[in-house]
Amino acid sequence: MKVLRAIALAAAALLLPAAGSLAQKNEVRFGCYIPITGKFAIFGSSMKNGFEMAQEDFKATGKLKDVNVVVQCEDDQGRADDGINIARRFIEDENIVAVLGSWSSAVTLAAGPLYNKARLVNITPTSSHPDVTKIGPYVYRQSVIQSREGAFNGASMYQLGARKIAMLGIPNDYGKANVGFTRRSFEKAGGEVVFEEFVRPDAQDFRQVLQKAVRAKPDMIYIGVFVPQASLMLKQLRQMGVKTRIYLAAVLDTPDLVRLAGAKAVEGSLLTLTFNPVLGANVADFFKRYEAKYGRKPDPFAGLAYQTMTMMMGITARLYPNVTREGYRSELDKMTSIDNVFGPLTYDPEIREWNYKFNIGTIKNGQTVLLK
Amino acid sequence: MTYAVVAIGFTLIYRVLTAVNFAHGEVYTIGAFTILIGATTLNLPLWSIVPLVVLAGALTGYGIELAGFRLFRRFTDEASLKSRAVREATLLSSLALGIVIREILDLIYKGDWQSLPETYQLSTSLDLGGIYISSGEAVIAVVSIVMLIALQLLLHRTSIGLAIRAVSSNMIGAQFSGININRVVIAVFVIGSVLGAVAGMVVSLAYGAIQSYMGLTVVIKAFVAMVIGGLTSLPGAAIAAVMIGVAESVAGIFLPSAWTEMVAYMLLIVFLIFLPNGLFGRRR
Amino acid sequence: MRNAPSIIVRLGVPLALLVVVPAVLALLDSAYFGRIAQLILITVILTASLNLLMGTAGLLALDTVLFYGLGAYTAAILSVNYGTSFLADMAIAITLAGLVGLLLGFALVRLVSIFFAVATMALAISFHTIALNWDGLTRGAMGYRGIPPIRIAGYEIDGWFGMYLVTAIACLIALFAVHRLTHSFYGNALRAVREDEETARSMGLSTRGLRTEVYVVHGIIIAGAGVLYAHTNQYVGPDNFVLLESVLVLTGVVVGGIGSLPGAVLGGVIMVVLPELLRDIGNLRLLVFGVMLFFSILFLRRGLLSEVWALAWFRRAAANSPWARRRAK
Repeated sequence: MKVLRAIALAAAALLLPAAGSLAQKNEVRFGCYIPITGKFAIFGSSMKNGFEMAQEDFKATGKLKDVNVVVQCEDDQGRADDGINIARRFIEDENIVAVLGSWSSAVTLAAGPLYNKARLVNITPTSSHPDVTKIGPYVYRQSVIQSREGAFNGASMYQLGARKIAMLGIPNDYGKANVGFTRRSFEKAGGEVVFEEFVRPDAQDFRQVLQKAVRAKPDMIYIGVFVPQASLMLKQLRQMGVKTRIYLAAVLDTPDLVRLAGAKAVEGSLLTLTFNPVLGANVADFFKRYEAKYGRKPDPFAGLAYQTMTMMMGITARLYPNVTREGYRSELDKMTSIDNVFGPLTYDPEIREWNYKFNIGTIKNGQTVLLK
Repeated sequence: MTYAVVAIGFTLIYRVLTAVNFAHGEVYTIGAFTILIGATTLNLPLWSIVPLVVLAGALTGYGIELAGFRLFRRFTDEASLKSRAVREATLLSSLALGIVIREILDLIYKGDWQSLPETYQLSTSLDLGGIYISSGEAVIAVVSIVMLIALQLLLHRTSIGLAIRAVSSNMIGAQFSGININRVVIAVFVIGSVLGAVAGMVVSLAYGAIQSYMGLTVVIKAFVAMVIGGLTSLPGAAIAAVMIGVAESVAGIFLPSAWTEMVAYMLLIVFLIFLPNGLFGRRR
Repeated sequence: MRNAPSIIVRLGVPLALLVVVPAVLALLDSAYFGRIAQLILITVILTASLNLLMGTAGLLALDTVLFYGLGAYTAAILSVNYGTSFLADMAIAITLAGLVGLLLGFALVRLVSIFFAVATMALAISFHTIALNWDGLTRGAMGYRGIPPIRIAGYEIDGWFGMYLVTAIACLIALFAVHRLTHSFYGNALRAVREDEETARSMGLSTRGLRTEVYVVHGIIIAGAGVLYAHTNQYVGPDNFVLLESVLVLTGVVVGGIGSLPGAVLGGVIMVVLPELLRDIGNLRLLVFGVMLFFSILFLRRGLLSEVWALAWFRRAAANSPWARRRAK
């Protein structure tokens, strides 16, 4: 029984400080739940960098000088369950004024209802599933919404002359929504989807599914998967000698694609652009500074996290010193526009979404260029 | 084919110790990361990386045996060497070691996917009468077959091979005839892990994508192949592994590829129901 | 103090779960701790039940998530689509788990040791694949959101405190069932089958029959835990039912002490509390978990509370029970 008692005491000793962490004066604390370990850790680390850079840049403007802004990041491993547990902690922690996260839509959709019920603002920088903002008035989003990107992808492919397309996705919340909305708009434009399949994310050899896709004789192949799978697919398509034009989802507009697949494999691919140095001086500058600081190029998640944090810092500066949970909600509802790394954006209060601008790009010699 | 090479290393270890080495998948991952480090950080040519991979595999295998298995073999009588307690303890200790290795790699590379430079990748397309395979896949096939043959030669033509076979068929008897069991076990881990690391290397040469979680699926498939093959039979495991690979790709023609994940497991269940001792298992 | 074990078993555990813990929780008044307490109890049901199968009957199984997921998804699908109540979900999930357990039990229990383990591992992975890809039934990767809270006889238990009490009662029922099966002649028969099949058979025990029975019972209890999980978490997705979760439950049993019911309970508690405590160290979390697992296996060979100790303890409890004393008179 001694062992038991020792463990119980140790557990109590460790748990209690976590519950009642001391409030500090001049401190504004945001909660944040993102994947820090596990298969999606890389995206979480991008977001963390984005938050960090936004804070530093904001401080450099001289506002909120003697306020200590803390982003308390907790690891959800991309799992809904952990997201829910973290939510219960954040909701009870009086010091947390608003919550950022998560990366994946599945986690945000599971934890969001808790925040909404507790009247604590949860703003997700990246979750793109259409249902996210439908959870309730306390759940906000910064990112592109799937239904809009899908509408653009489908229309663009039709406009680029495609009539029959093959579609490849991954069987998760992102992939299903992305392929689904793209398909809908392409069919609405008058095109035909001759092949659609969701692949195993952990596979390395996609030739079989690619062959099936090619055999359906599409005049364009749409790839709506994450970078690791897309880079393998592109390499294998080139090995197979497939000449069909390729269209990539916006999530693949990241320097990682060329890094992993090699310039030759991605040559000539078409893609939807939202976050790319070619789109404006703002973004180009962000890319340069991010790379100098972290030794790698930013992905869209880093950009979205940066933009979200900049906005939240702005709101904090406006609220200070009367920083309350409710304050963030009223301020977020007053937002109409933002001009950040994604260029000037306007807010649609009706559907509570930001209007992102999409562009079609293509990759030439490993560099993304705008398609005229 | 890669399943086969990994499965054989896995089966070899099982045959000698009746213990499942869950950290075997991490050996595969380490093989892949060794070539990545060799190619990107050290800028070495391919021929000079291969011995490094072999070395890394051997060292990892040795380390796993020391930390995950040796510590749990206190007594040398047969009953405790093959007892349930030791089996379960080593299963979990190797699992824990696997987690530790994976997380360390994850910390170093921040969980990011890594890619081999294009010059190292074997991705020329070969046309075999309408079926396209890449040069990397041809290399996987050739290397696998070569390694299987080499292993058979090693087991049947060398003295350490004889010792391994002696220990795996009767540990106590082997001990009484003067064989140093610990040396044999180390040899088995080293050989098995070299196979695993080389498998990881050729796969990354063929596909070029490397991540710290890559060994997880492979070790489970190896486990399944070992069981279908009959637990202790090396050719059985190899044949079963090839069978799994073929079944998965044939299923891919009819099924959406997300479902092909299940093929190996359904195959296993069917096999266990109709052939409870596996393909080449000894009747017990 | 000679009958201390008897008192602890009969009064202490129910008292602790139904009075002491709720009192502490009420004092803390924290939904977070309430949730952790619920998760601990649910995990304890899992480890206790797995311990019955793995510890007492000696069948190393990795398909915990299969039954757990079966229960959770049954509850989610029925209550979201057809508005069934908690108890109805429970009844249907248990029946379903019983049928599945019977079917699988017939096919699998004749397999020996490692074959059984691998077969159950295959089932666990297959279950995850189905949950992830059969969109029509399981809603794929999105999972089921908005599962209604526990409703019994028209009365809705929405707050964490009520949920805790329901979970605690369910946990007590499960523990009592496992306790009676483990520390009885039935348990001895299972241990006999585990230690030496041939001898057990020669004594007239039906080894296959016993194994199938215990497999079905373990499946039913775990499915019940799944229903509890679905209604208290109000979200069910495929991520919760990956092989790793089975391994974690198994780890709990091993760390606690294979074959020992108090050990399994303690192991279940540790498996929930430890990851939560480690949450603050961010990306070192899994690494530390791996290291701790390694050392606990190395230094606590028989687990924290070993089977031999547990059996001796419960025997004393039985010897001092009022019934035993009455018989002695």
